[in-house]
Amino acid sequence: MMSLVATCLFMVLMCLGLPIAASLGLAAGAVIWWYDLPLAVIAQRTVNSLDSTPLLAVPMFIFAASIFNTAGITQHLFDFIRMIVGRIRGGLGYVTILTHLIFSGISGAALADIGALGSIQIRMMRQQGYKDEFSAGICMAASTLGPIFPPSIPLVIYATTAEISAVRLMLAGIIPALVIAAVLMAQVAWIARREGLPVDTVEVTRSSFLRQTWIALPAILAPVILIGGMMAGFLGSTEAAGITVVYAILIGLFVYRKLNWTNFIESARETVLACASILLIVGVSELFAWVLAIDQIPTLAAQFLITLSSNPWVLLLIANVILLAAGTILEPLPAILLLTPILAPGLTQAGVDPIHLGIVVVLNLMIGLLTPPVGMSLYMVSNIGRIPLERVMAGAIPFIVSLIIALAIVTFVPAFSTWLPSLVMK
Amino acid sequence: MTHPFRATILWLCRMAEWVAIVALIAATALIMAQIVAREVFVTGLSWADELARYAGLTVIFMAVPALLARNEHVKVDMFHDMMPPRPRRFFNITNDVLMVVFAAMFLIAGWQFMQRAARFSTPALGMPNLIFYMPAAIGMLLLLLVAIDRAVAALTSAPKDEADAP
Repeated sequence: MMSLVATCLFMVLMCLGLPIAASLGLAAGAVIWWYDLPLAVIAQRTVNSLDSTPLLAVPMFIFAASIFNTAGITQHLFDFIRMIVGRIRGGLGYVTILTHLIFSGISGAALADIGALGSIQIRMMRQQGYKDEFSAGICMAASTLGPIFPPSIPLVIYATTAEISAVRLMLAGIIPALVIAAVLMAQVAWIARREGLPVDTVEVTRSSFLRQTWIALPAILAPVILIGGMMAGFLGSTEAAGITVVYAILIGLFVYRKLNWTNFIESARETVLACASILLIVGVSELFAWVLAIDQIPTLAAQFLITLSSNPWVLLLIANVILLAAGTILEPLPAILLLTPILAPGLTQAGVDPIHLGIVVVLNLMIGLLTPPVGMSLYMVSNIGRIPLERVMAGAIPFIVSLIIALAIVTFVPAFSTWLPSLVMK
Repeated sequence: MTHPFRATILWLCRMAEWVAIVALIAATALIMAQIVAREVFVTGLSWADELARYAGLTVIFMAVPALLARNEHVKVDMFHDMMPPRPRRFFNITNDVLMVVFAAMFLIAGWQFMQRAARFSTPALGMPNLIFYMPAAIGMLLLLLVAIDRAVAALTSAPKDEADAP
């Protein structure tokens, strides 16, 4: 009963436009006060959940991505990949997917990726005669790669909530991200043939290609260093993130020479604001999850799921439906923090690998970013691309279908998620 | 002209934002120090881990008031934006008042929590808990002030003014 009241109150406050952190905090606080539980727990749970070394990876990843962006890496990556795949029919569609894939090895959040890459991609596609619906759709769909391919803020937060290794989980995201990229590229190929998408106008000469490769190389090496460090086993996720920040500063200063004191501080300012925005929600969600735990919701949910079926495939299917539905009305981070304790015990009890489940949960919720009413990617692309929201929504639909196909593959072939971490980390 | 109360709060928010920036840079340096200590000098720095976590808490809570002052907290404004002007103004005021309640609730809870926790210190550095939890207390106090300023501005603004409070 207590959990039901808290959940309803949270949904009402959130829909009225109150910040999500305050909606969660007030809903939990109201229940704690009403049921005469100790008020001290509000501050204790919120602050103590944020006093965490694994969560320190979040500011580090945001900081690194912001510095890379300031150093002008996004444009170099875009130009480099245009030279490789631009001259295929529908080339800018592939360029969009591949730049997101490489940039996702630097950044760890879908919306940050759209912010960094979206305006360049949409402007270029518009200049070359692509429909705005296609540009918006492919940009949003490709941004789901960001939180699946390491580094990833949602995966770090999932790992903290589910108490599993963040490094294992991030390594588990590599192959699923490649699967998503492959499915999206297949769709671009199909649309290119059916609708006769344009070929890129980029001129490629041997010398220009070599020059562009040389310029883009330090940016491409960033994910290699990050993933290599984690795979070699001598860096934890937070340490890998810290190294990436230092690497970003060094190449920003000495290779691209665009980083100066002013834009470094501006990157730090952007980071602290983004970080406060994300992590306050994380802290307060922990408090909300505590209210659910007092009502024994995770235990009851686990028992309920097991009564529905003991077959892990059926349970995964049910989890996908619940998560896709939740993704339409909840932001990914609160959804991870609230639903993980509810879904994970039942599914892992039925034999689902917790690492595999982490990838499935995050991918589901990233698809939710493309669906109204709480599809933040829709609003962001509409805003930065100056495309009416209804056209952005229309553009999202075919790509949501592809992402669900990719989700089905990732869900029903667990080896795509579990093989790499088990190979690297015995 | 900006009201002196608002000008002071905005100045405090800017100062808090600077503290968060310094804490972010310190956290990065402390993480690097731990890697160097372990890989080069084969020694662990438990104090650096604790200090990095402290810096992390400082980053979050010192930037929270600036987020509200800039109206940049993550929220779902789709339904709110679809409302006609009068109910929208009503809910703007309600939301600003609820932010005051949220910050006040957190501070009261923090006060109660510290009655017990203030007697203890952190394990590695022996830092009194009062100092360890100070960034959260200061951040939420400043959030309360920003929220009060916004709520007062929303309540006293002319009804035709549909824009969000500053």
